[in-house]
Amino acid sequence: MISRQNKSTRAKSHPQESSHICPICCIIPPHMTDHIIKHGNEEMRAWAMETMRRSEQFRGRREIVGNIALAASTGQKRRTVYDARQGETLPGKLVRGEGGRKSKDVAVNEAYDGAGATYDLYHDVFERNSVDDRGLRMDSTVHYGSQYDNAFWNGNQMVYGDGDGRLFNRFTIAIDVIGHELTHGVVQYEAGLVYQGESGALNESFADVFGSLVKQRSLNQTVAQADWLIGAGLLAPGVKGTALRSLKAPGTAYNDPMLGKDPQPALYKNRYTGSQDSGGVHINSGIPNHAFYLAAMETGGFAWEKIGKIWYITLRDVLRSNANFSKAAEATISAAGQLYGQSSNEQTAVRKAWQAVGVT
Amino acid sequence: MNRTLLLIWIIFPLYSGLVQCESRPTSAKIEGKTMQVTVKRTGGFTGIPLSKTIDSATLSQQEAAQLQKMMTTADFFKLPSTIPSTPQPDRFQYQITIDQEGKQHTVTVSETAVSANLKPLLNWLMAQPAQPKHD
Repeated sequence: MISRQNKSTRAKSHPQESSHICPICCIIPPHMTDHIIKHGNEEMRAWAMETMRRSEQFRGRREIVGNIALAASTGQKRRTVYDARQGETLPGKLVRGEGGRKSKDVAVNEAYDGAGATYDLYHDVFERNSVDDRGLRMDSTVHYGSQYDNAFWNGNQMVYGDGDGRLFNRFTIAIDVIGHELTHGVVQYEAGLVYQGESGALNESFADVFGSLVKQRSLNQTVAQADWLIGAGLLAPGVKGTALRSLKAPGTAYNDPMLGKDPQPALYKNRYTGSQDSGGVHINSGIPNHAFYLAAMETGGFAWEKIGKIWYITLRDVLRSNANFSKAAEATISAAGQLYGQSSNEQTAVRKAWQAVGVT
Repeated sequence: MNRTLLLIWIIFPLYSGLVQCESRPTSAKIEGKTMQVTVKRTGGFTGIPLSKTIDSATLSQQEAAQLQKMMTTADFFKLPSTIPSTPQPDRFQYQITIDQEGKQHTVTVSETAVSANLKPLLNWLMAQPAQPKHD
């Protein structure tokens, strides 16, 4: 196992929080946060929820330190699922807690199980304890909005829409979507890749890559068995396409009269340079996605074991928040060299992959 | 011959006028002004862009009045071109353009930063039917 690099040597972006309040130092009494949650606007409610979570986490750690049972804090999932009931108030009504009974609502169970599978990948394979590596609660809200064709990580929790039913199904239907959203959280706590331009496309790519790894591991698929698709099952019946994105063949996932054609490039020379979609973060992610796919196929076996590890260590220890594709290539090649040796098969696979997509 | 030509000169314009009258939609102009509104949505987990255009000439009097009211609530022409916000992964970005009698304004805003005043206009626009993509 590679020991952690000193994080203070790298600039990191921090999770969203009020800069002038330390919830651990000045603990707001519960009745106050309660009042804010009931009557405050969206921003205030988000702050109150964040405060409560951090205080809880702190209390959790104190108990554990008191019992000198540090090992027990790792591997402990803390999942909560909420129902926004077609509204936009977060988090919504609590419907399932950790260890709680399965719900009659399939979206609730999918959010719960998908978060669990994501936690397990990061914990079992990468020795990471949840999104923040400190046992952060994994909160999910389902049934957000009306016919909402989206899912997102808002800095504190996951949020899933039901889809409109004509173009998209509910967003919890694909486990890689869940892995994708949680990985945005991991990126936030690690490299903090700025969500714009190439760093934004890298942010998106890490989310797709680890989302795909969650799915592959849940199905115990080798690189040859995996479909390398993102959002397979998300497109409603009748929509012309198999998925939203393909790491294997960017640009081929869909071609539909209403959705248009999958715009992802596989090659750097074909990258999108416009301003839409924060500089095409969901478009240009196809390039590093494909690099990962190529390196994984070259290496064989289970994608999370070697290439996944290289990508994880890169995200955790090497990348800076303003990294571009060229820096990411350097970083993964360097990480591969550290993990498996200079000129190792693994490093060579990574080097070749970036060359193949035209970044190096 | 002359009479035939004369008849054609008289009758044809009358006929054309009648046809035009029949095909003109029974619709409203807002205070005598025409207006075109476009909303473009990009981003989101899917990254698939969506575009809708509404011409006020196609709206009923009631709808047109509703649209004008929502624009007033939003104080649209006074909004900044870009409403600031911290980018959040997988959130939608909206770009609303209104063209009213030569006056044009575009506002770009993230899903996270849509104010209560702008929301009705945005929701109404997004509820309009989408057009198929042209390739």
